[in-house]
Amino acid sequence: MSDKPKDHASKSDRVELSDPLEFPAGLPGFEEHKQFIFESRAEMRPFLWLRSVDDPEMALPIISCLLLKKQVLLHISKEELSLIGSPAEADIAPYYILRVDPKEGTITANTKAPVIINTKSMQGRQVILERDGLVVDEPLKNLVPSGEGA
Amino acid sequence: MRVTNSLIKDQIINFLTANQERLADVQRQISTNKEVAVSSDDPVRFDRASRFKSLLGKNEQYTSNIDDGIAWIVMGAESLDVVYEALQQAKVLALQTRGDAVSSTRAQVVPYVDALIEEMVLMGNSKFMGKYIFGGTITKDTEPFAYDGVSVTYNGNDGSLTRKVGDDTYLEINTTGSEFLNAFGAVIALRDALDADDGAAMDAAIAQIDTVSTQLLNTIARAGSMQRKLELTRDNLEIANVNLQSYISQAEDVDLMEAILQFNAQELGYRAALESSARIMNISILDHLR
Repeated sequence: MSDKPKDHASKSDRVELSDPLEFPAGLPGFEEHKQFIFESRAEMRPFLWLRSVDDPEMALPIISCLLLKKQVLLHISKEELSLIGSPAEADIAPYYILRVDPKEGTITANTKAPVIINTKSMQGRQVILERDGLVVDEPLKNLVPSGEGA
Repeated sequence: MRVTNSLIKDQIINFLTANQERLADVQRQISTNKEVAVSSDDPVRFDRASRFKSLLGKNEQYTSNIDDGIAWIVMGAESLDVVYEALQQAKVLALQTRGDAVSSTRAQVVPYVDALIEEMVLMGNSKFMGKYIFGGTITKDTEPFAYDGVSVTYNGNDGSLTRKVGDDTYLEINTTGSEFLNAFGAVIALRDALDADDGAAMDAAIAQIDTVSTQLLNTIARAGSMQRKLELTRDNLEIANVNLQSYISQAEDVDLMEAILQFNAQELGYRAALESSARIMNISILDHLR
């Protein structure tokens, strides 16, 4: 689309940013960060970044839970949802925070504590789910849907 | 709001643009097998990462404090459960000998009730890691409860014990002996009534046992809620540590980029299958919020 060489593509070709989202409680470990922006880099999809508005150096890699296996779909209490404006199910966008396993060099997802976004009110929160089988370091590979032919 | 949003976005775009070159460096590093360490590349960034690493250590200390506090509470709750059971057994003995029983039967159960009192005292003097659980802040040398065969006295205090679970956060972990001292009084009153073969006094003691049993259940419930608070704090610290590690992954860009590129390469089929939906997802959330 652009006639420039790829390495010199303009910033808007490479990075998309959402409007700021409010995180009234911050994130555990980053409680003082109350506003975040979603960042998408074309070459890194489907990975996204949750970047702090208060301190742009602070960002966490995330991925939409909706792209992953359905068994990990969320069970979030009404109390938790009420903290981000009680969104309807269709208005909840859930994400897993990712990190790199220092030994394996592979990506793991924190399925125990997803970030949920109310896409209507633009509020977000990281919730801690108390369910068996959810762990803070699930290899992302295990969450990739398979054999569905799609 | 629009203006604010675009201002914020501009700032972040500026930040990211400034980082484009660094990003290119990172990609170069990946392709050249990480010839340059991140530390020498960018000392400021490295400092931040190491600061967060020290936070990780601190959180681990708090987590260990919490585990210790929970063990203390659990030990206490188990002892209180035994005290509660002793109260119920004393009541059963009282009811069995209350009705038409002859005096001699009542006298016969006195030693059993005495044994229950001693068991309760033993529980009241429970220790965890060499410290008395129920003595308030008097955790050494003096047993919280003393029983001379006539009455039980409490030699502890009402001081609360806490564990440090955050920079400025302390959570309480103890139940003091004075919170259930009256449990001993109720069973002793029963023992004395049985000994005196006094039916009216037995009735009074049974009523007293019911009252202190209810109080004791509340005390046990309070211990349960202290435990719950600690567990919630521990969960939060665990997630905080995972988030900090995620941040460190991100700050040490090389590893993350490499992992993502590898993932996207290895899961090529997945990625291809998802490319369209990923686009939709990305764009839908981004558009939604734009």
